[in-house]
Amino acid sequence: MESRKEKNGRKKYSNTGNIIWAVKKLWKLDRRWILWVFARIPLVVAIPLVRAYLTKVLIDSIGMGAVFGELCVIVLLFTVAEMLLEKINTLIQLRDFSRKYYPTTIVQDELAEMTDYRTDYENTEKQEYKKIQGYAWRDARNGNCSLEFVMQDLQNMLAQVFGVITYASLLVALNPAIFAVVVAVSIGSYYTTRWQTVYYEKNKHKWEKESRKKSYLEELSEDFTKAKDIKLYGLAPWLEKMMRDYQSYILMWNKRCSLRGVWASALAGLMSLLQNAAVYIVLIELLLTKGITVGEFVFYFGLIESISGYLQGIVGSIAKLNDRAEKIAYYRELNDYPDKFNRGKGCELPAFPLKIEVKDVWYRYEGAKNDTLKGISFVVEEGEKLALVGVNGAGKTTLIKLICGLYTPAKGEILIGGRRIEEYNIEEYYSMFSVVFQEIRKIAFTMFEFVASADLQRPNAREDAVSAMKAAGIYEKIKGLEHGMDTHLMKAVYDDGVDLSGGEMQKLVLARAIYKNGGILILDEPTAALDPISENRLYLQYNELTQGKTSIYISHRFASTRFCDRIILLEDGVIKESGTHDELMRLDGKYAYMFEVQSKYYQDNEKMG
Amino acid sequence: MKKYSITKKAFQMYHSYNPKYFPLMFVQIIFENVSPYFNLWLSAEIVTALYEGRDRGELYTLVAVTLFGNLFIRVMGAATNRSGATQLEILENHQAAAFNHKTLSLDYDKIEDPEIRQHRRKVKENAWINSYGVIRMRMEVQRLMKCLVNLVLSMMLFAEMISLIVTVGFQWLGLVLFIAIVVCIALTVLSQSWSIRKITLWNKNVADQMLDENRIDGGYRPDGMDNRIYCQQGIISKLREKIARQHLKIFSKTADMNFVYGLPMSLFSNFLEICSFLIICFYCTIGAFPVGSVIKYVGFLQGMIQGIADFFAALNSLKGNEIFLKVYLDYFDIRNDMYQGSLAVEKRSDKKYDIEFKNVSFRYAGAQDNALKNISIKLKVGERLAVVGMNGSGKTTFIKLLCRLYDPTEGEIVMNDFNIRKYDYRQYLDIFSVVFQDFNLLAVPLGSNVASASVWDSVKAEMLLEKVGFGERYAKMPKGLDTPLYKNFDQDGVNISGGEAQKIALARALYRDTPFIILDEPTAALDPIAEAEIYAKFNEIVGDKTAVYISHRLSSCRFCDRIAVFDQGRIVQMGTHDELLEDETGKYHELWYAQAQHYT
Repeated sequence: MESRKEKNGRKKYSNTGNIIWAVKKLWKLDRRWILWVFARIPLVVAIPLVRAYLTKVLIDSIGMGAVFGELCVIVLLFTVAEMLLEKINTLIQLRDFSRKYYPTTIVQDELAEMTDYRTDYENTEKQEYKKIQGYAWRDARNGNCSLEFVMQDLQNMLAQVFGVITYASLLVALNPAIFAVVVAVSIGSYYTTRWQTVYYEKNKHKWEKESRKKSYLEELSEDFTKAKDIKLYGLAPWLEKMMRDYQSYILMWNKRCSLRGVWASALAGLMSLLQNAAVYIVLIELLLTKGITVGEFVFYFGLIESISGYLQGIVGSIAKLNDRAEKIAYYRELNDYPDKFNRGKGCELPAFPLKIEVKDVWYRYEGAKNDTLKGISFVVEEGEKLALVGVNGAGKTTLIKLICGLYTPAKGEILIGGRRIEEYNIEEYYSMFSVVFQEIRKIAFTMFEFVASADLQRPNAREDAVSAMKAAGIYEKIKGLEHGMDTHLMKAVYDDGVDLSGGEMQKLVLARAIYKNGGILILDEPTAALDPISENRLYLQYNELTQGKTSIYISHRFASTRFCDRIILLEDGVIKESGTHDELMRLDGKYAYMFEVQSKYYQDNEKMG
Repeated sequence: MKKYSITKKAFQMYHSYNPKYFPLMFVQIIFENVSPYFNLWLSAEIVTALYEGRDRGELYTLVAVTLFGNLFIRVMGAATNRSGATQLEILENHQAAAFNHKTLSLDYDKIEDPEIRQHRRKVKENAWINSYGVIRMRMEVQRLMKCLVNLVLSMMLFAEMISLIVTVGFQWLGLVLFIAIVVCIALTVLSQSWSIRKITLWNKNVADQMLDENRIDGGYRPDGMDNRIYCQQGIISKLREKIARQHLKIFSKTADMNFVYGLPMSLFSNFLEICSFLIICFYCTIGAFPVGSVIKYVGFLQGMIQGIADFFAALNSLKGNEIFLKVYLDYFDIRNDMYQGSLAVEKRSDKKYDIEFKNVSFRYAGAQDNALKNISIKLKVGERLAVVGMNGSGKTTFIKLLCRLYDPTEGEIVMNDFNIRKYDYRQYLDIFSVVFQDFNLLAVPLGSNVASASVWDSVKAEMLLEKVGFGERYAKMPKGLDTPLYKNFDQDGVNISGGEAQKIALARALYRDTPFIILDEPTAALDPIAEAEIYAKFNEIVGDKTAVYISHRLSSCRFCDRIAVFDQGRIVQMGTHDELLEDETGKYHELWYAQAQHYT
């Protein structure tokens, strides 16, 4: 089989290797299933043979003037044999079918877990990774997952090979030239089909984009969270028109491709005509001159037809298996995608509070022209409360992601508790962090699960969750729900679930960070959606929350910086200013300017325009 | 209700999406199904001819007829198949478009209604699991056509067989076998229809049990960062494992069901085969049938029984499908109950649209309490109204009622003396531009986003983007207004930050140049400088429009003419900043100082 060629010189996977890998993987998943799949092969070949023999024997016996009683015995003997084989086949097939979609489910779960959890977070933002992941995901989700259905194709091919061998061995008496014709026609018909598929493969990128856009539009119109904008801005007619345009464009291409199919089919028909003509001539002449029986004539004709079918099946199966193998390569590539962080044994976690040392850290996003961080260095001492400020795009969130072990610096290093991040096992490393990210993703957990997911086994998990919820100011709301903190988030998924508002979600996310009680607390815009009272509450208890922890607070609301020991102002990826609020105000630089700009609206005596 | 009335109704609707498809399909089915009969018949002829020792000329004539006949059928089959596929795609496109159109034309409260969302999901799920619904209907109608063709062809052979039997007369053994065949046919058909009924019922059961699976898709896609820091994977994996096991159990059971329920039918069908072999042997031995019959008549009897069984199976399946079709049809029957008036909204250059809430209360469907309680407020033309309050105090609901995404449960909203319900809905919406807190931009070019259309006025769009402070970022856009946003639509799209998106959304609102502009937390994701820019330019941005500004940053109240303070669904205070601040026990005072104290 051809090997998969990689343009960018990454690891190459041979198609045969991919299929072996898949079978091994499935074998580990479910040995019995694999055995059942292979056990059916002889049966699939044998059953039609019994029928063919019956016809042959009957025709010949009738020709030789057998009496009805004899014929009865023949019919019963063969049909009962056939019945038995058939029932065994069905039973095995049943075992096979009972596994249907189970491997697919597992593969889908593994894929999701890989991207959402197992691999480095940074990988999942890379174009290359996303592309491979997208292909694998699409393959796993189209109801025809290559990592399951490869077994079906393998079964077919083995049955076809076995069939050709078996049937051909019964035909030794026949003119070998006929085999040559059958093989030639099979190869020919393979190429005619290929002629069509090659055209399709060559052109499919021409409507790939439109297909994607079409499905995006479909999802869009069904996404109720986008309905407000669609309604108010009157987007529906426009979206519908786009949809129609994409549909007709794709249709045009499908028509072009299928026209080739008609020609290919006509050509294949012509070839099969030639083949059958040859077979008829050979068999009729054998019958007329060499004296084979009419029963044998029928039998041989049937066998040749089957062989021809099998041969065409084999070339088809090989093409299909190649296609499967190429898709399986996506799974392998994901599996082998290199991680930068340590997933093996790591060094021991240090005791809290922790010191954070950022040493000359550079970072550039993939595909970006400029560095986002340009040689950042600073130290957050044990138990220090640091505020990080700066305009949008200054690199604050990027810096946080680097410290959390979600990104790796292009240059420089980060030390936590005196050790480089890579020295820790990354999962253990994450356990040291309580982070509130800017963007909030809902997930259909119960409130308790949402808050306590980091450490469900804790002895007083539920009590701790309650106190975390109280601290975040969301407990009153949750207590009032019918199922309390066992209420699911997301009403769309659970009928008795609830949808929390943006502000409430922000409080829940805060509760999660409090519950986890990590040695490093990082809050990235934790109050953007909160009302002034809730915002104030967080400020007032900030000291208490950060007790014994090292903390970093990012906010556009400069009120928050007042509670921090030190402020770092980032601009264009470098540290512009650093010091306490008073120091920076005296410096009268950017920080002072930003503070003024925001606070002037709150000064009572000033007249506003 | 009449039998198959739902199918009939659905079929008419489905057929109307492309009336060419089904007739063409019928022709295709004829070509596809005639081939085995043609071959049975001719092979039998050839076998008989060989057996009777006819000469080469006659033999090769038969061979030639077989070969060219097959070629013709094959080519015709391929040609009709291709047009059939094209017509089907057209049909399905129209069908999908109609379904989408229905979704898009639903009232907002319907779109948001969990029950309707569930309904739509059901339609999709039904189609996905076992293709129930219109797809099943199409497949079964095609199956009926196929049965019809098969039955006509096999009846022809059956008639031929009977005529041969009649010429020699029924012998008692022949008669017994003949009766056995008829009985076997009847039993096979009956047992098949029984098994299909059972299996359909079971499959419906499966579809219900599979709901959990879709929960995973809908609700358990974690954010990669959250998941890594908070180990959400543990809970997700546990649920997935549970579902995978459940899945395995269901499918094992399904396979067992299929075997058990299919067993009687397969046994009867085996008996039938034995009987048909025997009857042929019998009549061959007494010389009534030519030898070729061994091939011909066994094959066709199988075909006939398949035809009859399939016919009933198709009918049964159609009947079983009706519950799913009903779900599908019901979706189209969801009625918008928002009253749609026809009063034209006058285009006024002075933008003089007076809107007043009169004792308006509102309760969300299924909620216990009113989200808004007895709200009365008049929006003055050209004023800037700030709406403030705690989370959940009803501010956003107020906005949604104002732009008629919902109708009040009690009270009324009046514009220029008429209830807003009386106005043409689209025209009424067109006097508002709203930037919601959870606004959405589309993954289409920037220009399209700003203009909400595929074509845009570049000068205007660029001017507005500049005005909202997007200018610097705009200069970096590789293809200017043609740059697609996000990556899901276009590989060369650009990702934008929350703050940038907020600015674009603001430009989009301004592009419409409507008399009202409503901003819900428009600066939440902006840094102080960007925010100050918006504040400073607020008057310029809003111009002579009437503006409603919702924000937790009370600093914004300073440049608004009037402030409405919401608390637990009521307006508790209204007035200017200075007026409200005087009331030291008031909510506004509390909110203001909670925030302002940190800036002194």
